[in-house]
Amino acid sequence: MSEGRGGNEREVRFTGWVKQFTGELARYCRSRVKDPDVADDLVQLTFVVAWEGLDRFAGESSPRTWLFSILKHKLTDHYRKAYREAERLSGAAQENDNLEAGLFDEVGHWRPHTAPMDDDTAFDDEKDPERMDRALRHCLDALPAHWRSAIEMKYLLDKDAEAIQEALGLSATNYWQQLHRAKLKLRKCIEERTITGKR
Amino acid sequence: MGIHNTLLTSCQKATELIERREFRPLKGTERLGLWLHMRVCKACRTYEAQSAVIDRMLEKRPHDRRTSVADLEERILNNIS
Repeated sequence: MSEGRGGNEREVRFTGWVKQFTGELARYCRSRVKDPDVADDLVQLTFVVAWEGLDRFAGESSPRTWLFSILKHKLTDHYRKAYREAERLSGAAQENDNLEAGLFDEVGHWRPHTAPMDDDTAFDDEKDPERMDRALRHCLDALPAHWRSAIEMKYLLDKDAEAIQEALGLSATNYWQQLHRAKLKLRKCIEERTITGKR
Repeated sequence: MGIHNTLLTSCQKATELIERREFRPLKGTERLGLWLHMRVCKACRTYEAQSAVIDRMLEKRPHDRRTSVADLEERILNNIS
């Protein structure tokens, strides 16, 4: 504030970005994080980082692109910590065993009541997209934290397997396993919420 | 048991390969095993289709519709000035 004219221009420009992009960033973030307060904190943190790095922002990309890349970085950080925290609290291992034993028999075939059903009322994201949106949101939020992280990382790090494995501190084999289990659980949950027919 | 491991890919393995294939191409033997499995397993073909729907939705995440961010804007501006 007391930096005179230059400081003031800097602030006016930045305030413009806050007004222009907060809504978009917050909506993006809230659709990827369970707790809306945590999501808002990440957006706030994004602007703090941007403010501090403003002099280094050379305008090679648009401010929007720049802000989104900072936010994605913060989200990656969030899910990396969430994964490690879940791992530290254990319980995760137990849940893993139960899931697979419940879905597959001893030779790895679907158990009679767990095989995906070919029912055209389920998973129809064209006929009733709202219902699918709600089911996806609910089921992502219901996932244990480490599985949610395994899935979110896939998109945050653009399917760069090595980068994801490094961020989560997992071997390749372990990451495929975690991601696979996360997807099995997510699919099952969505099926249960969207299917209207009877088996 | 032997035949499942060598000739046939199990449903458990097939669904894992379907997920892994999203990141990079599978090895020759894995690809062949998956292909054979998919020809005979309707449940896994259903899994594959449903998994693709989920991926499409995850990629293009439905936007949160809550619109009020006035408080958040104010918090951000107070924080930096």
